[in-house]
Amino acid sequence: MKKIIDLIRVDLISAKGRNKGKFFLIFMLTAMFVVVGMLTESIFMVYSIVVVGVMLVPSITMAEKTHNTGKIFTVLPTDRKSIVISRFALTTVIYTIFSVIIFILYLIMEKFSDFHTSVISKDISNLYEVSSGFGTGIQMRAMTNSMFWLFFAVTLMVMAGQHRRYFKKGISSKNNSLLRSFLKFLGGIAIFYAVSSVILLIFNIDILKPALIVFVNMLIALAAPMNGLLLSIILIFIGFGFTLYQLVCSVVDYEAREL
Amino acid sequence: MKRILRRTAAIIAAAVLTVCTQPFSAFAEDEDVLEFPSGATVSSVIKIQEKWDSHRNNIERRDKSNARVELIFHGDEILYTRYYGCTNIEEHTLADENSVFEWGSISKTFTWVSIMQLWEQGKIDLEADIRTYLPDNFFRHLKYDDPITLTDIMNHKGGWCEKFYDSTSEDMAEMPSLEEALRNTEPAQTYRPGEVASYSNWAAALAGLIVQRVSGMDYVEYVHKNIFEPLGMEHTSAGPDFTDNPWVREQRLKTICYESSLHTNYKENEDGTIEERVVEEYEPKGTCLFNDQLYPCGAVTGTLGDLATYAQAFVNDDHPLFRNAETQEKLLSGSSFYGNTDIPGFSYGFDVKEYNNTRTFGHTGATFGCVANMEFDPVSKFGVVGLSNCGDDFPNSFGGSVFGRLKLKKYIGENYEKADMTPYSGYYSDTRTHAAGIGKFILYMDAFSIDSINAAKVADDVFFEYHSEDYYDDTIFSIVENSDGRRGLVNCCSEYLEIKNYIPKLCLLAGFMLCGVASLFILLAKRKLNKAGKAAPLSFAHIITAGQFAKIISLAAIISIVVIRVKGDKHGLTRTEGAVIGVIQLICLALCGLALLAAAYSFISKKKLPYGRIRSLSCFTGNLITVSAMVFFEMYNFWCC
Repeated sequence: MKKIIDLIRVDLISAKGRNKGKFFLIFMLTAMFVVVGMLTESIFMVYSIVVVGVMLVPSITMAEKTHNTGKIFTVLPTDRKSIVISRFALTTVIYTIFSVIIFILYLIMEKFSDFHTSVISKDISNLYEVSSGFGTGIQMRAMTNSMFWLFFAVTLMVMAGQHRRYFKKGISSKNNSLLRSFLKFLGGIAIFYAVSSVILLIFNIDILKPALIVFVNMLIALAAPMNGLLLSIILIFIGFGFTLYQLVCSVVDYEAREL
Repeated sequence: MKRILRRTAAIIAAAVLTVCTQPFSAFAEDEDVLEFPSGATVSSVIKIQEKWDSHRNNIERRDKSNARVELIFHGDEILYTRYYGCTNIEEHTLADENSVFEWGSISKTFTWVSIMQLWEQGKIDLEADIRTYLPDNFFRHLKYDDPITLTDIMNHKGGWCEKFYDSTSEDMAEMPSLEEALRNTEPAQTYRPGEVASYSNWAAALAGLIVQRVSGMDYVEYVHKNIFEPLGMEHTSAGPDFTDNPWVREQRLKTICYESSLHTNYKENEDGTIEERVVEEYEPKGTCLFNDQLYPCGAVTGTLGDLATYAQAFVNDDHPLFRNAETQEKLLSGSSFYGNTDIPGFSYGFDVKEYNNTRTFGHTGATFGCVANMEFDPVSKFGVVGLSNCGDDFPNSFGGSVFGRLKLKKYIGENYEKADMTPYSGYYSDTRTHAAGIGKFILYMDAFSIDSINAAKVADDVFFEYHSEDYYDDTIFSIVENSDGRRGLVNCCSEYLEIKNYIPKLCLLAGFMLCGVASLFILLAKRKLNKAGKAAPLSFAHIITAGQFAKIISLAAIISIVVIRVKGDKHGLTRTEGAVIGVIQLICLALCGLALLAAAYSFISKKKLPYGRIRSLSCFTGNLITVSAMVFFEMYNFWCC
């Protein structure tokens, strides 16, 4: 355990270095989304955790490129498994703590939602709540809460993927810039939509529809009770589960890699 | 003088005679002021409809949209008939009086009428156990020993859940007898008879078999002789594949069924501006013919005119379908009421709809390709019927104009008492679902909470669910408490039944699905570790791995149930499909059970492995969740569902 904490310290010290500009950029973007969320619809704050999540891993590994310390771990008296675990632990803990803070802020702002402008007008929200009645269990609040933790889980998965890629292929100036990471993230979404559209077009939905029905029905059923808490727990579980899977794979990949 | 007097008397007499012998003009006067129960005059409603039909857009769309034929009647008189759209859009065949459509569940009312006819003849006792009228050992899946009466069946309270297996035959040559078909598709009895309302096609077909056995005639023959012939319904068929009426078959084959969808279209106007328009498009689904083995529950097919004739019989004081007026009165007197009120929710198989100023009886229907509506008020003698060849286009344009609306403030006044629903808080699910067997999981994916509804008290255990003034009609519900302690919310013949401990059950189902997905990743990780030579397997590793495969296959199996149901053209799975899925689930259950034991052994064994305890504990938990879910949701039970 001590070894892992020491390695986390190493990472934090090396990340401090000359990355102030990047940290400032992350801070500005995060602050922007938090302020937008406070002034309009509180759920918009969720974008701040996406920014932090997507930029966190590159900003830590960036130090190795900046200081040309990519092979420092080959000389440190530690095993590779501990390095992988420490890196995963560091980013996951920072990201989770930050997300929890934003979620608390989001809940507070929801309480005061009458005092700020809303994109979804109160009338529409009320109409939705009143008209839903029988047969529609899911409420607006449950939907937004679940959406927050969906973003959390997806971003956590992206982070785990970034880690694995790093441990498998190492760092390069090409694939490790902050802007590139962010663009890659956006590109990933675009590719996802493009591939989905092609699949839908080719198979005319018939193949995906039934599986989607099970998936969507289950999501709605889980989102309905306790203001979306149940679905949120499951999404968090999925996020951490996938991170654990990527951690195991990263250990194997990193141990097999020539440094 | 006398002459003058005689002439005057003659003129007066002539005038009186003239007035008395002009009934038609006098009736025309009356028609102008004839009012529907809604308060609207007949002439104003017809004028508005005619104006609507003569609108340029509607004239243009007439030969591009699906058929929707509707009719308003008052007693024996047809007040208005509207044939709109095409029975075949591609060939621009407009709907007319010879177009035939399936009437769907309206067919059930023919069974209920038959039952009442036999009751008035003293051949049937509505309160006797139906086993009296059926062959010995007819039922195989009864859960309760309580008697099931015909009144229970007519109220959809026989206790059966929705049937799981398909009951259509592609080939008429393979069509089993009604009795055989009922035996083959018998659903599980999940509710105590006479308690829970659960709409059942199967039970309606069972009533058809009882008609057959009691009358000693084939069901189709009985309906022809005792309903079609007395009413002169020559353009209607009641048998599967229309074997009883070739004309109907010929006409039905000309009707194509459609699925509609809305699309946004852009059109350039003459002034160069671009106009955005929402266009309705129709996708042809073919004839959508099906041979239902359980034909008494939904095989009647015919013209709009015949449907109107049938509906008119129920508002006719001469009761053409029954020997005694009392039978017709009983049929429409209500058999199931909201709480202790005199407001009927259901009436011997007929839906009862409450409005501000009136109360109607009738039924709706839907098949693979057609939808139908029949609604009448036996007091004012007004009625509407409608048919359509598009499932998304329910033919009820006139319901609101004729019968009005049901709005809380007008029904019980402005000073209503808001109902406190807190004591009934919980999760409820429609009883018309698969409550047993391999499809049981579906029930838990459709549940909902009633915490957010607006309710107003009508009487003890009776409440209105109300909406804003501009929104759709309000609904009346009663709250019932069943013998097992579960509450039910009843509207008409639908019941939403409380699910006790819903959240843990839902978590179990979610856990089952998560275990399936997690197993996939665990297997991938294992493969990677094996390749790298770093695997440190737990005891009985092969069994544990087999358990992980079983979890994935089991998840795929329950998804395949939905796949088959959505992709297929049938209602439900075939017996073979059900058996294959059930056997697969049984094998998966056995493997997961073994993996559970293996993980338990691994946990207590003293073998030193990296993260051995955590791994075996998580493996044990995963298998325990999967086995519990498979047992609780009866995922293996393909024989009784």
